[in-house]
Amino acid sequence: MNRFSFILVAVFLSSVPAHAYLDAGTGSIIAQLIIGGAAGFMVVMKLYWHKIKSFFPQRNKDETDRPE
Amino acid sequence: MQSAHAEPGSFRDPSGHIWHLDNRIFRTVKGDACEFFKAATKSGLFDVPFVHGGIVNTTIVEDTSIIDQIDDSFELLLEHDKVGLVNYPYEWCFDQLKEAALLHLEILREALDRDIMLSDASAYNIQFCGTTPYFIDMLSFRPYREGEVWNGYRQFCEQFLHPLLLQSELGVPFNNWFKGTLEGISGQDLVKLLPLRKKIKPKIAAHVWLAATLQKNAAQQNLQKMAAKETRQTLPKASMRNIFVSLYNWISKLSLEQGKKSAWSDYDKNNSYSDQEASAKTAFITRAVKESKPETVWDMGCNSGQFSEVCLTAGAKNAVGFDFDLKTVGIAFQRSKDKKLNLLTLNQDLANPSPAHGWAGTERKSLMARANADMTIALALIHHLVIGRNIPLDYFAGWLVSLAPEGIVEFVPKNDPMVQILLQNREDIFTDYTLENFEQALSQHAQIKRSDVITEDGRTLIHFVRNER
Repeated sequence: MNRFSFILVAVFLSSVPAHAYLDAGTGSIIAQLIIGGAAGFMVVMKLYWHKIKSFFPQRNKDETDRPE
Repeated sequence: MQSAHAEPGSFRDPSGHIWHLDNRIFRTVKGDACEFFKAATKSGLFDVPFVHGGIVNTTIVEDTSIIDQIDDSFELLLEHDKVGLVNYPYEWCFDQLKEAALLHLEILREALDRDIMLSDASAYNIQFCGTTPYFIDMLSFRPYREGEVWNGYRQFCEQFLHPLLLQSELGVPFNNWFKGTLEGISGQDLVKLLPLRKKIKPKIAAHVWLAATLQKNAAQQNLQKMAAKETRQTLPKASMRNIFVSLYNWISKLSLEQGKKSAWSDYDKNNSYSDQEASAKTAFITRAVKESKPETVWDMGCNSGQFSEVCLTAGAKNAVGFDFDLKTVGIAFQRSKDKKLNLLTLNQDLANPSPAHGWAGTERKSLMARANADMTIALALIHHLVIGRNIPLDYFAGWLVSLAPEGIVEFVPKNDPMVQILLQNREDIFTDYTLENFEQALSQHAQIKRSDVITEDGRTLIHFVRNER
């Protein structure tokens, strides 16, 4: 199972009572991987933002401001 | 000279223990922890100027006369600077827990930048000395393993984030709950209390709801094994650092609702005594402190810390202010920070002070077992305990004298407007509540050194010295 489907299954399961032998850290471990993924995604976004921006054609501000 | 003895609360980490010797604090270290400590020292982590406090000053002990006295198996002996009265997170006000959380995150970030990780995220690893939080567990540092997850995340949330959110989002102080569990507040409990509009706030959804929901569902779907598999080497270092930074930015913005006042927060300005009486109080306390030269003063019912400050100005080295009202503890903490006072502020209900608890009832000490004061001041406290809480007058006198070798107590007579407020909706069963009876009860345990009437209605300050026991 890939991580994405694993997470979906985990989050949307019906609730069950916690059981005594459950390692208390499981939820937090998976949660930080998801959060870490999002945070990591943001870093990537920041790093590559200029490349993403330049991918889309833009009207150059200088051009629009240029007098006719 | 006292013989060395192990700290009963220091047992969770097998790589070392805290020892007390001659009023000094030592820590034994063995195994890998010795190398980890040396590596952390070499990395410069202990020299970082942190914004929200610091790491307790620690030196390696080479004096064999000390080493020989400590009956433990160890390879390295460290000495920590003493931090004064031991204090616990459930005794802190909101701003203190927030400062401690921010210090912990700062240390995590700086450590990670040096390829060092902290093995846990216990709020008990932080101690306030005055207004400054210090990280005290030098055995928490170990090498970072590429791709590892943050093992202390759940503990950080339960002991820092959830208690702070309980108070900032729901207006419920965390202290009594934290004191009951000792391990903090679980995400599953907090989620049950949060209304939907709070639950869907992105940061709460991510750090509280998500983990709690996954945890709740983990048993049925055998997620534990899957999580164990998934978490092997999967969290990039940059992502972990980002979690630290985003939690730091979030927590630094958490605050209590502004503008809400407690009955006590304006007491400084709206109390029932005049400026002249306040200066009489200041003069009496200043004289007593100058005569007795106490190192540590306990201010029982400190309110905004006004008279703790008087003690410090008069020459006391440090003061601890206790109050049952959390708003005023916050105000006293702010005063102490603003004026750079050596005043530690703690929340205590003096009719129900922190008990001894934790494993075998010895892990966390009761307030009384931690008593370290040379002098107490108990100003306008007596009526709250004797009339407000039905503590017999002689119990109050005996308790007060037991706290320190000497003290100053203010007697508030029954005709005082503040006492009348306490009595207005109840039967007056306090027929023995008189100055004469109180002085008599006090003289069972102490000598009255000086006594001055400071208000027209008869508020009286008494400086007493405990009888030799």
